[in-house]
Amino acid sequence: MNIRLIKSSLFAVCLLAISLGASAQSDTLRLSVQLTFRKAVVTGLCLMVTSDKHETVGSVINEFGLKAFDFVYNKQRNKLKLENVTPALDKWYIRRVLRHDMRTLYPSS
Amino acid sequence: MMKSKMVSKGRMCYTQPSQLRWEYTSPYQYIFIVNGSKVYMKSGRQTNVVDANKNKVFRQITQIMMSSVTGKSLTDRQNFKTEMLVSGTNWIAKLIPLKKELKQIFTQLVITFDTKRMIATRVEMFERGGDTTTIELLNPTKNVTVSQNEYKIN
Repeated sequence: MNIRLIKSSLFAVCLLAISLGASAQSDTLRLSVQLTFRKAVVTGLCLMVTSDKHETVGSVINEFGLKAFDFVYNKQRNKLKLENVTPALDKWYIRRVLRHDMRTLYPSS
Repeated sequence: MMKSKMVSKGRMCYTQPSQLRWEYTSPYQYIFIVNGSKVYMKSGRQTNVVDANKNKVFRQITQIMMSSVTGKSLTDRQNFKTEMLVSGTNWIAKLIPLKKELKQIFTQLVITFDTKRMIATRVEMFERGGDTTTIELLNPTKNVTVSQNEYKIN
């Protein structure tokens, strides 16, 4: 655990509003993504598909097509799970922030 | 995870020894420029300029991109184990990453060369998670003048 890294990194996932960066093609929604660290900003895309009325699956990738992580949101259980997280982001403190920030896409009704 | 393919289009310019412009024009706008040691990225309204001399990650990224464009990656025994195959009028290079940072992401890179035009026409990047990114280089032209404006970093 790198406390210094936690303290020295300001990490936020900013998902640009649908009116700004989103577009939909059939059932796939595409959002612009920005991961902000204190010393760097990484941009990418978030692709989401609602596979059935209870589940949405998605991927966050960079513009070159390389994956940052996948996620699955279960509406019934109101749970979001990260999968296939790229090694650079696969730290518990980063995953926690990613889950928290991705959850803002699905506010509890 | 995503069953459907995503297709993006763009253009690329390269000038020796270290100038590269990689631009996506559809369905999103993204520009990646390497000009010497400077790296410029523009995505929407977000722009970043990084000095690769001061950033190890970007130094590695630019070295690998440049060596892939020039073909030096084929003889880069420090970073890749290379296997060459022949398929019709194409040469196929299979590059297996040796260093930890790339090994964590990719199982292999496959570069296809058109032997008639002596130019790379396809790059396939196989990720460890099972995804594949394929870059097809259509209508490549060599030995043309590229304006320095293409590599301008604002």
